[in-house]
Amino acid sequence: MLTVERISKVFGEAESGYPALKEISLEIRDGEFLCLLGPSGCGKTTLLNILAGFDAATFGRAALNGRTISAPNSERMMFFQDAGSALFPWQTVEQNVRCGLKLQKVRGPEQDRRVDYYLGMVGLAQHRDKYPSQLSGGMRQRLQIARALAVEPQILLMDEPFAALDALTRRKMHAFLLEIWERTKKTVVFVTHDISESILMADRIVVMTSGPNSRIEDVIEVHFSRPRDPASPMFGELYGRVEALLDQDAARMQQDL
Amino acid sequence: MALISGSTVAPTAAAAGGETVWARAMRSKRLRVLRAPLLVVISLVIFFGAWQILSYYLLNPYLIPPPSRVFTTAVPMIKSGEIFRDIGISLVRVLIGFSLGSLAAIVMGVIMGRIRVINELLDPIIEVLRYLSPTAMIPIAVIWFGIGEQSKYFLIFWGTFFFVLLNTVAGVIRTPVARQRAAQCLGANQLEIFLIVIIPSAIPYIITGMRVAMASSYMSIIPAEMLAAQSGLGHLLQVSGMLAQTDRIFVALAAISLLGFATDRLFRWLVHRTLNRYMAFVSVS
Repeated sequence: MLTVERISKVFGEAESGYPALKEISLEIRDGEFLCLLGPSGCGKTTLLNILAGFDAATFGRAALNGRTISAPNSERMMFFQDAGSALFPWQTVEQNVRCGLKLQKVRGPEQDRRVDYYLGMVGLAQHRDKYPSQLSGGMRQRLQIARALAVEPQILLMDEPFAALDALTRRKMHAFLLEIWERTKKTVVFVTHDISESILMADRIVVMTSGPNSRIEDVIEVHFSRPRDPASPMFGELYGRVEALLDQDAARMQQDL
Repeated sequence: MALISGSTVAPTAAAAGGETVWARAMRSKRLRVLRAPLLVVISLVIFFGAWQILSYYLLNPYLIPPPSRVFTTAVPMIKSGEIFRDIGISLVRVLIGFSLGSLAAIVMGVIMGRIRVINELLDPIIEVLRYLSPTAMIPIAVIWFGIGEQSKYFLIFWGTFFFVLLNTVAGVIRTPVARQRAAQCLGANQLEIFLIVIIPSAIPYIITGMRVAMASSYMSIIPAEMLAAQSGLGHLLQVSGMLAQTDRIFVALAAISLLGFATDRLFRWLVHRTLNRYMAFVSVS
């Protein structure tokens, strides 16, 4: 269980700085697919960085199975939108995956086994000797997934991972990620500002308000089974509900101005 | 509309003149292959032609010795080995000063790029010192190191150091945050992040700095040897100038440009052979 306990985040000085997050509390179940949804600048990424351990909360704490998160760790893998800069461009596909295993001190036949297994899982086994620059955007994201999964983390933290891909590739990646998630039973925390994407993927959608002082507006359970059809009435109904929440927030922002 | 009509017309055209089109494609392909070397030859012909005309018709052959005279002057200098001795001496000076300067700059650049307080302390000093060209440092270098080899090494070092330093710092600072964080998640400690992420990410910048510094080294060795040496291409230039031997001056100038060109090509070839995979930038997503 990943828990967020009354987290507030202020950038800069406590009194004069920018208050990004205000008293966010959340419990993320093991194996859950959770989406953080909100307008840009609402602190989704900030919250994700705190969960990863890249950034510290000003007040409150994040904890995994009761242990406070204070630094990055391979049990919580961050996954970046820009695969080109997250990968090691001077290493081949295979070396990229192997690098994480070497850092984890996974050696010998076990290392080979995992490289083969996860490259196979993401469908890059036949491209193992290529360099990232020779791959398409979707393939680079799959490589990043393989490199992350190979160290066998409990949690995947994904920061708008498919936002830079074209629409068709993005659709394929959605199906692909769901399939991986169902096979591996990892907990996924997925940041997005795309309502459809969140309904398509999530068990629960956490809708956040605009900053400063972002908080959780509502948590929406998505009950219907996958694969979800964006043309179905249930999808549309839920879309309307989430959109209404975001509109309400946007209207409030207007008033404040 | 244009697209549709184009697609209906194309097959008939291909059927009617398929062979001609193929032959034309072959011809243009051969031309394309020959284009680059052809342009180099044309460019050289224009260069030597203009040189000859300037020398004989516009000015006089004493002020601008024609290509043929430069060549006949060069032959005995090559035969006696005189020119190679000077080239060799200058080359060794450049290589030693350049290597030491690059090495020191890379070490310091990596530290400055990584440790903020050191950067903030040293940056103002570097910002002031880097405007002092190696030529400006010649008098003090001679006083400090004498007119032997050491002063030349020092001057080349000086001319190399700042170029490589600034590029190394930039390369280290510009290492993508996502790459460092990804490595952290994979379990890398600070030292490992440094060795497997930051240094490789900075290599393209370091190499660029070194190439600029290499050109600068050739520019600074000449005045250094003119003012404070008894050997080397700069010395040859200086002596030929005092004796008003324009043909020998031209031989020295040709040697300097050929040497610089050859070294840069060699450097690029070495980089290509050894560091090529670090040189590929992956564009954003």
